[in-house]
Amino acid sequence: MKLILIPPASDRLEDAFAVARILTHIGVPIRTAKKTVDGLVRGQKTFVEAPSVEDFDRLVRDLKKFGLELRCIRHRKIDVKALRDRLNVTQEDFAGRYGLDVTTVRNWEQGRTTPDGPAATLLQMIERDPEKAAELLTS
Amino acid sequence: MVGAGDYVFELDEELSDSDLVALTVTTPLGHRIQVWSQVELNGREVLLRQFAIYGLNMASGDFGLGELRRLVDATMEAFDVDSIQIDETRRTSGAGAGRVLRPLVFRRRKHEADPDSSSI
Repeated sequence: MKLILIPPASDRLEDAFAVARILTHIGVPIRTAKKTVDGLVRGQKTFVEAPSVEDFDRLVRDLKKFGLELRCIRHRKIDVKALRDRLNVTQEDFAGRYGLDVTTVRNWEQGRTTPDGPAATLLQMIERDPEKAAELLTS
Repeated sequence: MVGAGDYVFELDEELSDSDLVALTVTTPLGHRIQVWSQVELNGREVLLRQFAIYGLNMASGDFGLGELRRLVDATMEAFDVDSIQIDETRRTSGAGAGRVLRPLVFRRRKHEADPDSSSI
């Protein structure tokens, strides 16, 4: 699971080792936990890959005790055909608008392939705010 | 647990791994400090890389260079080494957080009668 940790508003991490221990318990290597804690102490939002999160809500509560806010990046399965229908555009228009290959869009819709990590992220952004996503992709 | 000059050093085994050492230090003033660093021992000299120090029950400004000097002195006594070098590191908090600090070298103070006594 990809986690985003947001440092305390007070800009002060009360117990760096306790936070590091929480991270190691969810499978974060010790050295990565150190880098993460160092970033948090500097007031930086940090990203960390945690391979063994069993209870996300509990993790949120545990980190909240130290003033940390936790978010995670989750890839939802997007129904590309339904999304395109909602936008009322053709496959060609959809592909052109978001810088995608039309064959790729067709393969997704027909279930021949599945959007991978970055493509899934892009599709989530399109689903959430199609106009903004198109605007951000246009130079 | 190791002690020297009223400083108490506790190794955090869970956060230590080969050359990475995590220590919680209690100072004579009762401050508790967490120190996390890669440690390289060359004879009687210690080199600390990726050095980080976090205060537990301290206000900002409670731990200055003087306090660091005393902590390092106690560390050299406790672990019987002659010098500790803290390699280039980043300031983690306070004014200029993130700023790269120049390496610091601390040498063990010798007895006052010793004319070769030196420090930073």
